[in-house]
Amino acid sequence: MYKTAMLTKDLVAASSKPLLLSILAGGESYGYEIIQKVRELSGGQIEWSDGMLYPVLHRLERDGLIESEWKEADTGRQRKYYFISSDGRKVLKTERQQWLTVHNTLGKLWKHKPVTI
Amino acid sequence: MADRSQHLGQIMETQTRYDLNAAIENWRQELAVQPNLTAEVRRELETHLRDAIAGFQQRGLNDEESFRMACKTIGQLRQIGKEFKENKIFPMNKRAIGFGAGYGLVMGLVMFLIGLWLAYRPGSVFIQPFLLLNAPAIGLTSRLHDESYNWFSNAGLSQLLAAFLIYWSLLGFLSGFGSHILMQNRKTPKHN
Repeated sequence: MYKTAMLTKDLVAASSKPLLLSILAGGESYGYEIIQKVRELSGGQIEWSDGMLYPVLHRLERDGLIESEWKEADTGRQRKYYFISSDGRKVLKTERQQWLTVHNTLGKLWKHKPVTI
Repeated sequence: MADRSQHLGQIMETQTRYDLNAAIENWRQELAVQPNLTAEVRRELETHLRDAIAGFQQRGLNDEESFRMACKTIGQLRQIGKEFKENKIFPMNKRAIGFGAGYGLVMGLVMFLIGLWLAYRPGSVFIQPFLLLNAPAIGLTSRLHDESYNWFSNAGLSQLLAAFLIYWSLLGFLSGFGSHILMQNRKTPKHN
């Protein structure tokens, strides 16, 4: 058994952009669904306060990285769907390279010492 | 028997639903008084709350628990409002830049025309204030060429015009940005 620590506030803030862009690159989605997906993929290790997602989404939209549209869901409930823009895809590409650089560097440093988190 | 329990279930459901609706209504009222949250954001948050409630209900929680948990996961409404307020800093900067550019174009052109007008009125009382007001632009531009340079040629005039436009747009930008910073400081509440 191992114990994992929750992400620090700084890491949550830094990773929210690539996370949201990556999720939306896989198809349009709305706030609640995005939160569920992050929770599920991270095994509950990335816990966002749900409401804090919206300022981030609106910031990304303002910067032209994502777009949005109100649509009716199957349940008849109106939801605001977000989807990635072409600018967003470009930014995601750079983000991806940067995160991979960090990941690979740390990976090399820790190669001989398997890390138990 | 099955019919009866279903019926009972329905009665209970409508009763608790009524409470749930009231709870949601209360929450909406708290949401409505938050500054910095637009009607659209409020609508988004409410949809989220309803989705979250449905999610917890599906996991077997009762209405009250579902509502409580949903509120908890959404988090402090005041905090969300604060975060949205910080979002606004950037558009304000953009506005300051736009203001600076517009201001610069108009003021630069006006100053340039006044300069031309004054050039034909030696000894005018306006020359001194004009030179003072535009000293940085005129001073820097005049260093580009020696004294024999003909500033009334096309090239000379366009250089002067460019200098005036740049100088005034810079002033406009700085004043726009300055007022933005002042406003920010005035509005930002003290951290506790």
